[in-house]
Amino acid sequence: MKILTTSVFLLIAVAILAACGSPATEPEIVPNQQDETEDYISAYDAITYNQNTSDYDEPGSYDDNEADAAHTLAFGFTLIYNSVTIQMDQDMAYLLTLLGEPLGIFEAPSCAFDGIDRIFGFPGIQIHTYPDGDLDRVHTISFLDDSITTSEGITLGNSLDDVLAAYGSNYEQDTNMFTFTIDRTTLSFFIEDDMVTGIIYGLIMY
Amino acid sequence: MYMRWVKIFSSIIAFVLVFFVVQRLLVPKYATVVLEGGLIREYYSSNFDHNVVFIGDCEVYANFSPITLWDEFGITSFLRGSPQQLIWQSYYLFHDTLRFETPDVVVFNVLAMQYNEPQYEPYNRLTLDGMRWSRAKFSAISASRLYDESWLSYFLPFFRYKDRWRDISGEDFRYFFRSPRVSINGFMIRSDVVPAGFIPAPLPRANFQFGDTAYYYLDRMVQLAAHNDINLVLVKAPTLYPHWHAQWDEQMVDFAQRNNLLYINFLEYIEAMGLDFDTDTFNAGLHLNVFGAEKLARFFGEILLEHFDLPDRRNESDTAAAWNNKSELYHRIIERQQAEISTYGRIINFLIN
Amino acid sequence: MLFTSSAFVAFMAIVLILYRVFPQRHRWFVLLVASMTFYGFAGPSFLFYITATIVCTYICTTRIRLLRNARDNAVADTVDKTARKAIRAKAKAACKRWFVACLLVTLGLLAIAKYTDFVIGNANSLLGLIGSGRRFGFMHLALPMGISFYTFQTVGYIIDVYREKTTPLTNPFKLALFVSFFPQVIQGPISRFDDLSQTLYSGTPVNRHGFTRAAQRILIGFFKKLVIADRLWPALLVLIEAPDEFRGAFYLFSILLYAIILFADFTGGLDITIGIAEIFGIRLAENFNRPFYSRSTQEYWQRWHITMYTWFRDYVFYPVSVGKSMLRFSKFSRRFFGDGIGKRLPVHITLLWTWFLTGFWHGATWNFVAWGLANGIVIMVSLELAPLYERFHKVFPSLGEKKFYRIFQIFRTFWLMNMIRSFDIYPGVMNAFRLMLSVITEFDLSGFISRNISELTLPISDYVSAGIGLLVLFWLSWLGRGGIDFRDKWATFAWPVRYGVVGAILFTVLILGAYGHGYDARQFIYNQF
Repeated sequence: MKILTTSVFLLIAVAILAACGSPATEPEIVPNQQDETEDYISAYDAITYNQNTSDYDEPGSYDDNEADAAHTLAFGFTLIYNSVTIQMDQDMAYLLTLLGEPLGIFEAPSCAFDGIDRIFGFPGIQIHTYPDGDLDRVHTISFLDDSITTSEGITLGNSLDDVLAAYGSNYEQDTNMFTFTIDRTTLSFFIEDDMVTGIIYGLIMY
Repeated sequence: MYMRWVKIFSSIIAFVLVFFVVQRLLVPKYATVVLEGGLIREYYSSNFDHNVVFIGDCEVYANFSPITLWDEFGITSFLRGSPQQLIWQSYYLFHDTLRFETPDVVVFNVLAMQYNEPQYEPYNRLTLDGMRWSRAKFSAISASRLYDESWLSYFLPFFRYKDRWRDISGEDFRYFFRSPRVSINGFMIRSDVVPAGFIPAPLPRANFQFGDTAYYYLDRMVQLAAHNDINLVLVKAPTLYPHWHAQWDEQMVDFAQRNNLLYINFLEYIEAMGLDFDTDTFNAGLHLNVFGAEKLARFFGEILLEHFDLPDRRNESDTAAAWNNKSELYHRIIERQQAEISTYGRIINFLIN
Repeated sequence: MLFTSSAFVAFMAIVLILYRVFPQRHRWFVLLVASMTFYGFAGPSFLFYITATIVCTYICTTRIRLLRNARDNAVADTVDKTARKAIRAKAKAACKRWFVACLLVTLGLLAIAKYTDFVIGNANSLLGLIGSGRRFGFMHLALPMGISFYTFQTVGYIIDVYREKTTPLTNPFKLALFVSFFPQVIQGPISRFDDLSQTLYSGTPVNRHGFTRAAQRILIGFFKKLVIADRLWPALLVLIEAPDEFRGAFYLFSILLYAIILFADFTGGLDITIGIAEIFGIRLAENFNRPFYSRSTQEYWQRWHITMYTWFRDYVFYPVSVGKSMLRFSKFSRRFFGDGIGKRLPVHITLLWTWFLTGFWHGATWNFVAWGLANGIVIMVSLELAPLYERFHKVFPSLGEKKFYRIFQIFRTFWLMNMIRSFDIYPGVMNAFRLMLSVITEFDLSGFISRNISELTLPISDYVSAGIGLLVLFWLSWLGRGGIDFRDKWATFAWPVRYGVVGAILFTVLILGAYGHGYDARQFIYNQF
């Protein structure tokens, strides 16, 4: 009886202890930790943890938009183009299965090295990608004419007031460029003579 | 006591010997990959007798044929170009050139004005590693260094290229004592053709003003040229990408006017030169191939003669002999490349040998 | 300032020159200035913590010394036995107050710096459990470098002073040097004052032979850190960042990687630490003794992080187990559970409590607590099963000496101790348990082989280079069998061979080391404590 009591007591103690340890616990604070809101990975690696997590996409598996979106940003600025939702950092090969053939593809190599940006031209927009392993990922979308509008209805030729009405006043201004930011995405409007002359979706690269 | 010093000295000598042998093995030879890394060093094998020296980025070493300048105008020239050469690097290369010669004309391609800060470490190495040690090189490194670049790695490239032990190949042994030749007077010969196709529209920018640092070094270039009685010419090569914005061009026109310099935007003379981007480019309009470079050199040569009193040196026997040899080699390389293209569909051997 | 940085090399050069230049009896002061400078580089604000620890310790131990002097004088002046007893009792009580106060402040600084957010996090969890919407904000206090190490080293000194094992220092600056001595402040070893003080203040000039030996040790330290630990770390990161993807055989591989990395990183750092101390003629305690040759968990903890283990044994386990509270509990448990369990229960509870604290000392998360308790439970279970093992070996008497059995014991101990380290690297205690279970439920060796580990993690050349490093380690370990220092073995080689070996190792570090352009310089793993 005494042995049984003891055993039960110890097992419960172990079980209680084993059940502890939850995501609510803050990671150990170490010097030079860049961002305390990072996912907890290890107490040791706060200094050198690389935000560029590995791809979860299987190359060639383009059936599941959900899986792709799970890797890329599930939030931030997106563009609806020809009923296709284009997200920043999205795999371009997958997008091409939805968008169809581009008008042209320009490869912009660096002066000497491999690994090149590509620019895909479509009616009304250009999509710039960067190489990520075997994939090309969207990092910039620029508007070419007023046939395309942003998801919030702004296009070339709208006024600054239209922009502020659609996006609010939480922007950063650099000369004539007004940039709104959500997470790692940006949406920039170029204003000349109170008219939108350029629109760019951007991805903040680390 | 004596033996102790023998041991110490012999160990130090052995260590230094092994260290430098290993370093030489590990340093990239630029024989098959990134040949552009070999450009800057080749200047020091020349005879330092050039009437025109070009400085600048890849739009220099790909777009101007020095052989055409010689063949048609008797102008001797050297292209001191390198990939993404930044303006302060161009300035210090200008300085470095003056240690060996004083050309009549220095030509600077102004695309680099868009960069106001150091950019990318590998490009720094491609330009700076080839320079001989001098005060100019120290200054160039100091101006170019990014946060993760150490001085030690410039003095002892072992510490930059140590990880190349994975990539050691036959070429590292073949070129242990002698570096491969990648250019003729700084010009990289490409006779293949990839026609220009879709050229993207330029992205809008918030600010087209060139940075203070870029202007600072451009001013210093002007002063250096004036101080040495050299004619400085600013050019923009005729390439379709990256975009040369009208706002940038205005700034260069304005600067040239204020400083009484010749500035030529060759993009405005594409038709006049007879450039055809279906046949005169090897990478879809980013750079001219040898045929395009010859057209540009032909056009530019006329301008140089019109503005500057450059001698026609085809009647100097020694100079002519040396340059005619270069010209012969140049045409042989083009023929060889053309043969490879017909047999294999692409150029196999990019070296000059 | 990383040991593997050029700034540290310059720092060492300056300190060495000053050490040689200063008169011998003042050289310890050079080390003090160097230590405070070194510590200041980690963050000038951190100097507050270490200075507060030093000041508090000095004041309290000085008070204890003065109280004891006064006590001795008073006792000497008194003939009455009762009066003498009263004087002693009064002095003891006063000393105890200062002792407790000192411990509170010293450990309190550690608690504040290290455990504040842990407490807040758990309080918030409890509030969530009871349905309250209130939450406390986290303090995000930066953790001073090596606070766990120097605090425990200081606490050991305080306890030794209180127990009259050690005479307290009268010179506060010498105490400051003991607490902050720069080679060991990052990751130990946790020194005892009586041991360290024998050489710390002597200012012994290092001779050529001593310098050579120290340099050899430092070289091996860099070798382990740069060629093995830092080279393999990115591979481990890939595996532990995606625990849902990398389970079963991948999990085992990550455990193996972590065992190698932790061993190389920790022992490499200590080689550098001990080597640097040797340059100054200072002897630090060894912290490792070929731990992967251990045949049981008890043996493992006598070979791995020895100074930490002995510290907890001497300052927690023994005092608690013979303390009045535990003696009272022992009587109670024998009465309630009978002699059998009653005698063993207090030992187990003390053991678990000691390991709980050990885990907690490592990190302010439940993962580390789980790690500590897991170690304690394993030792406890092996103690409980000891009679069974004895009976087994009586049936098979020669089995214990058989080579295959010894290899089995080493293999078993290696995997057991390193699988417990899952709590170190995987977030969430339950997650770590699930991964351990996946070895049985999701092993999938063919999947591990088909998904080329080299493509997933590091190029094969990096594994080759780390493998070369491991071969060198095995060779050094083989040289050092029988407790011989490998440097003594090297000294017996002919000088061209000796120089050649050192040169080859140096070149291996220079070429294969994970440093320079393209690498993030890594602080030692145990620096986080």
